[in-house]
Amino acid sequence: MDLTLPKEYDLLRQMIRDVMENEFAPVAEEADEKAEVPFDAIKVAAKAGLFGIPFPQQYGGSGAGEMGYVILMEEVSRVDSAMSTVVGAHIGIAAMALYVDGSHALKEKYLTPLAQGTKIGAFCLTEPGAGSDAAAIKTRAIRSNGHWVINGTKIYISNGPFADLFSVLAVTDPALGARGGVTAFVVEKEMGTKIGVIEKKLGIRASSTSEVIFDEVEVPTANIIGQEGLGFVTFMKTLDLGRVTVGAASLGGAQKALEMIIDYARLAEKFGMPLAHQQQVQFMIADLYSDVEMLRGLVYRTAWLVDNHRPFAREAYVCKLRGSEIASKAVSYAMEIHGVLGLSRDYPLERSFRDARIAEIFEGTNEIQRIIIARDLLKEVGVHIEP
Amino acid sequence: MRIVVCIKQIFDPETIKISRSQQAIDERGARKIMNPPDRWALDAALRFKEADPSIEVIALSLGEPEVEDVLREALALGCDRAILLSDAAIVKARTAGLAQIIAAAIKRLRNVQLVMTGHMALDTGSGTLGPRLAIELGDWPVLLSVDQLRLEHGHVTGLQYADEKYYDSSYPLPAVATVLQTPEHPRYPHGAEIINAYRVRNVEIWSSLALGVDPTALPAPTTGRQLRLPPARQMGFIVEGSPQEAAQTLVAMLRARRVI
Repeated sequence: MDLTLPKEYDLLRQMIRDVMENEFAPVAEEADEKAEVPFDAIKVAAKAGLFGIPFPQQYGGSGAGEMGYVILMEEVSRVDSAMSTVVGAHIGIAAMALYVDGSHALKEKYLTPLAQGTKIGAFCLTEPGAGSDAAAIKTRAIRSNGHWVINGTKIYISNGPFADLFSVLAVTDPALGARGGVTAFVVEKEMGTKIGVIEKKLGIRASSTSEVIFDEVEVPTANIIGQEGLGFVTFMKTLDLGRVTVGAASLGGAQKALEMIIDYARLAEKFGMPLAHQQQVQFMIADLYSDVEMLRGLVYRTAWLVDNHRPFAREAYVCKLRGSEIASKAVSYAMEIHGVLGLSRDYPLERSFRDARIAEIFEGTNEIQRIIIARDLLKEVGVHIEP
Repeated sequence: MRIVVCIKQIFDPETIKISRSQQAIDERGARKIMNPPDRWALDAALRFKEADPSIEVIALSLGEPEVEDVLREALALGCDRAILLSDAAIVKARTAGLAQIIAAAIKRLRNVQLVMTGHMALDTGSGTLGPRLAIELGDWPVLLSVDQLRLEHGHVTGLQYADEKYYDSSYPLPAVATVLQTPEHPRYPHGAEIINAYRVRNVEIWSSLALGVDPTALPAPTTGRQLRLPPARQMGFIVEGSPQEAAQTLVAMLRARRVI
């Protein structure tokens, strides 16, 4: 058994780290302060292929698979968690929905510009009455003269305000509901989508989140992702993959917090000696390192499962659940050790602290992840629990 | 025409540690990278290729098989070919011998009009490869520590940096140029090119036999006798008084020490 990563991944990681440290690190604080997406840096990142890392080269991607994608998310998040939301929403769910179930023609037309980063994607699932219970969506698509007309409002859409393409889930047959009556579409901004309220957020402020409104938006039948009626399956498959990378982004965030703790413990003196000499600080470092290494093993193994076409859904839930919790714990420990400095707006830790919280919430709250993991395990011994 | 860019693999200065004895470099855990000035040289060569697609850019390096990684990186950045000069005799070569081997490879390539490399290797602080190569290639002109390199009318032109000044220089091809690091960041390789550099493309390996170099006839390598840290710097002091008084005191001190 050889667990070393092929060398191309080392160079890929180095390139991504260079892009993040040279292009994003210098502007991250200002982008957070002003709640502005750093578009200049995004252009450089797109040119280096960062918006299509996992996808086949045939469709403008890098062909680096899920393994390349978790490395991307880890390195992006290590420098700028808000950017991991922009990249994750774009690749991990918006473009991924097209990749998992789109036809060749649809991929050529829409996945290619997304992978090249010349167009930005958003994933439109959540509605006022349908978040973690995604089957409760109300957005409606009605067939009319050879195309579909979509009406409804999606909320909390990452990249919503500046996206060019939207992967959208809508009800096409209310009688069937999630089991055969929900369809996934790819919708162009030019088809008439409107941006509603832009959220003012506590964290991930350099990513932009908004309502996306569909008011009589006409979409060609050719823009159905996968098959009519099977959109719920497409979106759930997409979210399974997305969970791996929430874990990967959390890994990057936790790694960064650990580095900050070690650095501060080495330099800051309390009671006449560096903090690092305090045993309780050593315990925090050791505990956190153990968590981070465990998470790294899990995230990379799950990416390997994906790339080798093995079942991975349960592992993906654990990536998201434990990853987000470890990242929160890491920034919390970092705050503990930094004292008042941790709260200062002039020090990057408070940004990490604000940014970490979302990972426990989005792409299915951690409570939902726990329920699914437990039910999945119980099902194996014959215990079936209906919602 | 062909441009050869000579690339060195070095330890990332940020990852090496001095051993406790202070007599050696502790290489454990150190990462190996492309010598940064060479990266700028490569970037300049690739800009020439962008302006004139008939130009072929060839990356060349020398050493142990692991050096291949910097050549894969060069391929990912956009080089047409990458060649590693490597065998048991070659890896032992240093300085003068090294220039002879590289020059032999450049002659074997034919139609090489420009040889580029970084202005120095950050690990040894040496910048002699360029001039040594120019001699070995038959006294080609050499532009040392050059910025804003241009190719025009069969000449290579640029600003040479020496003694804290820049000088306009232009020489007819073929020539050698050693390139300065400038503030603009060189290009990033595209993700797909990184994957292809390892999964699709090849690094050619040339041995001394293929080059027609007799390893026993190479100049003796320079050898290191001892490695030590520079002495610790002494604390400075502050000259007190008003600016005029302080300046007078300072001048008096410098005169007393025969500095001025």
